[in-house]
Amino acid sequence: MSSRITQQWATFSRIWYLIDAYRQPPGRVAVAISKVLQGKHKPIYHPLSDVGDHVVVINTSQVAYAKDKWEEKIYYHHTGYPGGFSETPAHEFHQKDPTKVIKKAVYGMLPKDLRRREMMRRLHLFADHDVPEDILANVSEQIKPPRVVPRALTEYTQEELDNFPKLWLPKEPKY
Amino acid sequence: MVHLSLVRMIRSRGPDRYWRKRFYLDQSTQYFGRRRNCFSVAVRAVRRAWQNSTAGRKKKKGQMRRLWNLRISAAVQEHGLTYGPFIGNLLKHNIRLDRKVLSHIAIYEPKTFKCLAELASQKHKEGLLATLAKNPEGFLSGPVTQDDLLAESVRKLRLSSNPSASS
Amino acid sequence: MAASMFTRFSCKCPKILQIIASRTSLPVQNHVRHHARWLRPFLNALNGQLSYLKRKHGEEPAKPRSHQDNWDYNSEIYAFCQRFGEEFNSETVRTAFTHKSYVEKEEKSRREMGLLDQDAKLQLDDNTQLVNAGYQFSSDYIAGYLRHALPKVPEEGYRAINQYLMNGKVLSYVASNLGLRDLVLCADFPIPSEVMESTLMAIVGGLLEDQGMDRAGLFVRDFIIPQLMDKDLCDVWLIDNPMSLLVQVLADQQREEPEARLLREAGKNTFTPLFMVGIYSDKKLLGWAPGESVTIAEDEAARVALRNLLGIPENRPPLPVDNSIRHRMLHQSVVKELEKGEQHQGQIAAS
Repeated sequence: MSSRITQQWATFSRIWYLIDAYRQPPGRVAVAISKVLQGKHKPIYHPLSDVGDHVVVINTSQVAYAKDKWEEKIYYHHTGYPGGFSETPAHEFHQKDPTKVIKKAVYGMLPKDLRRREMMRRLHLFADHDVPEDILANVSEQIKPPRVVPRALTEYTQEELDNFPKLWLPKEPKY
Repeated sequence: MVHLSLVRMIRSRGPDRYWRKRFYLDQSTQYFGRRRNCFSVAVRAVRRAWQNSTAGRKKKKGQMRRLWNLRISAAVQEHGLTYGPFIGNLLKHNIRLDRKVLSHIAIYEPKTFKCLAELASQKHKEGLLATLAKNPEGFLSGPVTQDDLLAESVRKLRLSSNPSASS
Repeated sequence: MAASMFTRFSCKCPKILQIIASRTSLPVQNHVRHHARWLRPFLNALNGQLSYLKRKHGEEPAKPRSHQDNWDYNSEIYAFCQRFGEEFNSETVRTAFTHKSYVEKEEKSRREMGLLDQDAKLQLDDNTQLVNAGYQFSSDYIAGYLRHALPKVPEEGYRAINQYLMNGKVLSYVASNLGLRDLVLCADFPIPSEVMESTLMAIVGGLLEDQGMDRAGLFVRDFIIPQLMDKDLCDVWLIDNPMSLLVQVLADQQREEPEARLLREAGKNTFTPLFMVGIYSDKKLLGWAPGESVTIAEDEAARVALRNLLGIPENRPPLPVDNSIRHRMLHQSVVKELEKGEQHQGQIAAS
């Protein structure tokens, strides 16, 4: 290996990761992201040494909550003043700012202390896949999305649908 | 019987009060506010600090072990394995390195650690699962270990208890 | 008055009693039935006095071991020889420990006492000759040893490593850790490091005289060369321009010119970027290294490639200094070469 100085530089350098949130569950994406932001993926991890990496998240507007969570999940907020309480369903919350669902999920998973602000500053969220050139140039690694991207029935070609193995054929409706 | 010492103890109440206080105040020098200079507050703070440090000595062991485990699991994941199989399969190889040493190896000797991970993953592959999945004929490939024999016997048991599978 | 008041010091704690007994000449008593309240103020006052005296008069000047109790030079010399398991001639050892300045100082003091010049002359040899012989032999042996142990390193590398081992800092460090400090006869005290260094060389010279090259070589191998053990050879041999040396080495091996390529990069637009550069020749990776800029990384990579080519990578096996048969043979071949060289020089001188 090279000299100690450059070894040190390489060991403590910050890597930029890219993750595609397209049709991914926000919670599981946030788990993967928070691990990297804290530096828990490195054998040199220590809670007192700041070894977290950068994460660039794209397509946050396309995240997929399961079942009817868009309706049921509610984000609560209180300003601290009388009558300052507000509750927003997830779909409204998402419409206001499409990066906010992931941001809030990650924020909640990071340690609740002074390090959290620094870690959040290393999280770069983008609603679609338009990322500024200078940020994209930094990226050198990718985090594997937690879920295999599911396809809608309309996205299969007719050939694939025909060749799909079937146990039974649905009967024609009587009326 | 003459209790001379008892009489003396009543007259003189132990060692000098000043030095007794000094003993506590010396230990509270770096505290904040009245906890530093006011004896009645300082003595409580110092005693609480002693309790904390006693408890901390026990806690520290667990904390360090958790940190080592985290580091090992991070290093192992770089080589496509997870923490549990890694530790378990090293034991099967009779490699008795403890967590502290393993985590140090992971940091300072990454190539050595890679070899350890390789050993563990090999053992992982030749375990119970592999034998069941690959060789339904009862043919044991590779070196026969205790695990292989166990897997074989489990397979036989299953076959004998489930007649529909054998037919 | 004060002394008559404290007729006897008494305390429960034996350690404190020991301290008082060692610092004062007052009698102490360890059997008491109460806790001594006067003790802490007394100790404070005592310490205050001591530190006041220290401040006023300074620390006590260091005394050479020979001016202290229980010193027997003869038995120390005997013990020294026994410690190394070498069969020294005791006269040679004495000569090796006698520095020139010591002889001069003794003669001068004799003259001052009124002795005539003839009587003032001491029957003592100083170690100048042995020192010269020792220096010559050690640097020859180290050069030969390096040539065998690290066969691919170029000549300037040998020279740098040899210089490092033979410089005053390393030699005086070895000498003082072998326990020569108390035995050296020298005019100055504390003994200067140059004297320590030359005494070690005189010991090597003495060994050479008494026992021949084999034992003297082993001495050098066992005590001086291991100073390289925890050293990175590239910290000892500083390569200024690794790329040009690499070009030269590759040309010697008749391989293609080196070619640097960027392997990886991270955080290019940040204040802490990371570049990894690899050096290729004949489409084969010779070495790679990280760095904060492409030029630094390239420089480092060239250094790594050079180290790989010269057989001194960071994970090189330790230097052969143990007593296994192979390493003994290495030592013997070095000694044989030295002997041959000496014969050759003798022939030249004779003709």
